[in-house]
Amino acid sequence: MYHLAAEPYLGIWLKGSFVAFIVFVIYAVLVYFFIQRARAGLPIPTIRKIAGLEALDEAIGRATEMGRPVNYVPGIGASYNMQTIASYAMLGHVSKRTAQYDTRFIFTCADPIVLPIAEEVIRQSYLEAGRPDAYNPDDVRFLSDWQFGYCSGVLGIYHRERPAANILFGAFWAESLIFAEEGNRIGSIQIGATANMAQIPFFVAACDYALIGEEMYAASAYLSKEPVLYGTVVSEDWMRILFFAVIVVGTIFQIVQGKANVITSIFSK
Amino acid sequence: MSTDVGVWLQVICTIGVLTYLYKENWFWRIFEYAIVAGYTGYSLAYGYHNYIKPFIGEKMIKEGQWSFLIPLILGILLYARFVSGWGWLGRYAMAYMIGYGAGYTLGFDIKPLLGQIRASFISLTSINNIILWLFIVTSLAYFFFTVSKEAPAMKGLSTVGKWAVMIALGASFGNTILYRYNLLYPRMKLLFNTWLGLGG
Repeated sequence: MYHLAAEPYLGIWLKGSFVAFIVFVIYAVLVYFFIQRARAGLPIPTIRKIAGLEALDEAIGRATEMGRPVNYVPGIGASYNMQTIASYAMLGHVSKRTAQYDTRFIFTCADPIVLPIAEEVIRQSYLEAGRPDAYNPDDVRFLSDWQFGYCSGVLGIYHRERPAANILFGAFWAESLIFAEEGNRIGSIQIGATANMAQIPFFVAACDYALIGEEMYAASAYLSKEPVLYGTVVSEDWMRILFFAVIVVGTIFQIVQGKANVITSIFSK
Repeated sequence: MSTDVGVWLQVICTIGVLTYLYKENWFWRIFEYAIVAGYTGYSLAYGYHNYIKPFIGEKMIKEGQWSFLIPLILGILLYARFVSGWGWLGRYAMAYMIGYGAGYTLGFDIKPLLGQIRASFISLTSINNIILWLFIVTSLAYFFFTVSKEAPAMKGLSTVGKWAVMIALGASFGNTILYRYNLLYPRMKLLFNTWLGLGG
């Protein structure tokens, strides 16, 4: 890992981290500011429509009408992977909906640490939906922590349980196309979301709706309208706009002053 | 045709998995269960020999490095959910894992991101640089969630950004498909060349 190559000053400060620290502080202030505003009910910018998420209720509704389960795959990322963490929020939303609609919900994972977290999230969602009795722990399963072992287990569930809706939301690697293609083959309505660049094309090609990269991080906030999540996504977006401006200004300086320009030197600190 | 038992075993497994292409069937299911069960056994042995034995058995108990007690306790707490009324204890271990992930990302993921931004300051002196820069800023604009895409300037930026993303995804798709052929090739070589003795 790159950061281990340098010896941190006083055990915590890595040389050349000044700008990163400033960015961190700006981001932290923005997050705090927007969360406080959202909590207080004050106006904050709204998140634009994300097509794949509009279809989520349609997918769960379809499964309910057909009397078939909703299947949720969180990818094969570790429990602390950012995409998996984003997936927990989505998992909460989807499982709450299935509890409200009284639709069977199947969850499988490839990381043993993800299992207890998912169990907690799903159990809590069923509780919030007022249906704690409907929660079935046997439908929350750990299959294998080997990528293709997990893949094989999920395909078996596809064919035996025949889910009508398939939500693929998290960090995916080579198994993404296998899941999406087979979900398509059994006639599931599919919503795929990942930030792994090499896997997004497969979701775009084989899923009914695909959330590309950053869209998956905005998803849970968009759906839940929960102040903490919403404020975080808005602040993240403001950071993105700030970076956009920095790229434009930095390029102008590059053109005018050449490689040794002011902005580049600031970014080297 | 090969007379090697190992080759025959590989061929049976390969054909067993490939029968799935026709439909889900009992023969394929044998291999589905075998793969899942085989790897579960393997990871159990792997976990014991690579983590429990060297860290707990050797370093903690034999060498007296008692700091390994902390991860051990956190690990054991995860099993508390199997004891009625004590499941809440496992949340401490989970909170640690999620906190670690969030902290690591905030601590170490900003710097590489800044490196990417700095690399985007390019002189627009060639057509390649112009396309690269244009695709960077427009695809970034495509992911603005709080800015309406109905505004004329944003609509243009966002549309170009969407095309930029789609072109990149198309290239990535082709690249991955080629890689998948590399995975298929050894299987076909096993079946036609090693097993049946066909080809060179």
